[in-house]
Amino acid sequence: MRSTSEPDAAVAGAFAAGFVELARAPLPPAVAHEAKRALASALGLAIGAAHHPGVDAIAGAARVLGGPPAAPILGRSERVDAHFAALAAGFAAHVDDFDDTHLATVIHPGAACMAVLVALAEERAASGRTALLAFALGCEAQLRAGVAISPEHYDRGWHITGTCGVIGAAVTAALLLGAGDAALARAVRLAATMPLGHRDAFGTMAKAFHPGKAAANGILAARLAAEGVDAPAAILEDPRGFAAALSTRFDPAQMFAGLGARWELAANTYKPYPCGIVAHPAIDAALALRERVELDAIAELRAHCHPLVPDLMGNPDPNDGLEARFSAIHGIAAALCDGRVGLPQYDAERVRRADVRALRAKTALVPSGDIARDAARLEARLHDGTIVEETVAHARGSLARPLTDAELFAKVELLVDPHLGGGAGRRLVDAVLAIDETALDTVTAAALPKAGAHV
Amino acid sequence: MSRVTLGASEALARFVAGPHDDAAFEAALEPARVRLLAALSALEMPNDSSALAARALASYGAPLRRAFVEGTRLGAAPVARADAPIVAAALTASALAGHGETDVLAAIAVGREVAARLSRALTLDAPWNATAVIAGIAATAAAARATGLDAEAARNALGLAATQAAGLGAADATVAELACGKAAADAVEAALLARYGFTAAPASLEGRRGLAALMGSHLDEALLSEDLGRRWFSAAG
Repeated sequence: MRSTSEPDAAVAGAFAAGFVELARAPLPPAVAHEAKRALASALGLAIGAAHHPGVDAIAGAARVLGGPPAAPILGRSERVDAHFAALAAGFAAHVDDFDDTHLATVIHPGAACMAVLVALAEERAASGRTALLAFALGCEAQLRAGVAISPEHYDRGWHITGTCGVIGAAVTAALLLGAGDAALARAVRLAATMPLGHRDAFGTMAKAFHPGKAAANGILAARLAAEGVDAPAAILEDPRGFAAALSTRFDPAQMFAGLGARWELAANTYKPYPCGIVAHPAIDAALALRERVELDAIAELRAHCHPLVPDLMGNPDPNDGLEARFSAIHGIAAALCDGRVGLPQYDAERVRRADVRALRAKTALVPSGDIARDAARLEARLHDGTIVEETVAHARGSLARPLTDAELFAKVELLVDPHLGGGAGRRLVDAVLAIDETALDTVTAAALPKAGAHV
Repeated sequence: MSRVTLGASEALARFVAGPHDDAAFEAALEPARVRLLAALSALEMPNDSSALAARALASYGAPLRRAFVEGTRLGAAPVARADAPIVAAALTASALAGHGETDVLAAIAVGREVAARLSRALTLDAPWNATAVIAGIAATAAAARATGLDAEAARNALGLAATQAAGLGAADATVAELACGKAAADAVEAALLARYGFTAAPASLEGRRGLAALMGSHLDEALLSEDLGRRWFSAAG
């Protein structure tokens, strides 16, 4: 039985001690590389959403409420204090629903931990190596906390990216702020008193507020911990503590068992297309089919797919970007018309144009229980009667077929270049890949408009 | 008697937006004045928690730091604890808006009424400290009133408050005091974000995945909004 008077015997103490131990050794190369992928992805997404109205609102509030400028808003020329920089970066990285996903917990771990790095980069003048370690361990901390209360926590209606994001962000912030072992444990315990995120917020800006505020709360927890503030030792497992409040299930060993041997971060995945994941195999098939048929020759398209596809994404003729994100048929049509499916394919104007409309009208979803969730078969009947088929066994971006570095970094370039100019996305990726040999603020500088540019 | 047709979140947002100008409202200002005077004397006396908060938030902007430090200081003062986040949020948000004492009192009265209504209508699960959870929403109502938000913006501010309402029963005194400060700062932040167009769940309290469903067992929407704006439960005690 755990004692509530012995901090190290309580769950938060054991959890923090495990992360202190992890922080003493270099990251295994494969984990370091996965962390770089997640960081590049989160930075690219935040730049891509730099001019979202929600970022404008955060910048507006920062003008009234913020302190002396200490950090950038990614992709823009304004500077704000660390609190609002964290809010803006975490928000922007999640707002397009295009960020990384840990499938077992449905946590998007990159946004909040990246936001902490951006907020504190200049204040701490941290080395890139320290920053990458802080980022990777923060992501792992979120995922471990999430696994311990899943799936009941998310199923009840909590947005796990916010609730567990706070704990991960606190680990990242504490490591970056140079916290000692005891201060890191205090930061974790304090963060556990600041969870946020109801799924009722889905469909509004508040959804992406969750990782943004998780980052800001994590920094707050680390700053309070640095002053010696602490929360009760048993804050995670207490009958009136974090786990009991947020879930009917709590498996505390998941938080610290096998740390260093098993990395949840290694199971992080990346979406190739900014729409519901169940439509991704059919979009893959459409991109392949485009290489083999002329669009004018197509008389009819039948997308054989898992039954969840029409269930979750059955809209046959969407009228705006949000509706299109729930239309597998639009994803197929856009893939055939444009040869790529990125954020521009979900602009309202693109969604309404005649070419995709016409192709959507020729397309039907054919659900079948025999087809796996990450598989699809697309069948085109041409005007001359010929049938052309493309079969996808595992979608790009699934665990069985992770996005390659080239695919992921191309996605980052597509997000960044329209905002920061040609070549900027590649420079950002290169800076992240070389983070071990440089300073953190060299990397965040690559996420900003060039000096003098007005963005 | 007519039953309520508005959802709880919309009803509270319209109440917060006002206008408030009748005799019942005037009567509600009196207890608000008593609370404000108690708070102003408590604010004269720094304590350990508020000193820690002031140091930890040294890099924050003056308004958020003020709300946080004053909320913490009030949270540690027995005479002011009950309304700490409401009064602290009202003071900072009113100062930002350039308002005087009358508007501070109105914001406190509105916040206290939202707290009184939620206390009557909402049953939270055992792990949550109901007073702390409700205080965050009530403080946001006060900040929204002081900021002069319309009903739509107030609904968004309340939505941000709902989705980040916290307060674990396991908190000790220091954590609970600091949580009063955090609730006040979060309230001011939510009001300003909403003023600049930030959106949140329209039914953040009563929605299928909203506060009551996730954190509680019961929300009596009729009780919450019955005679809201005409009858002030907070003026009774």
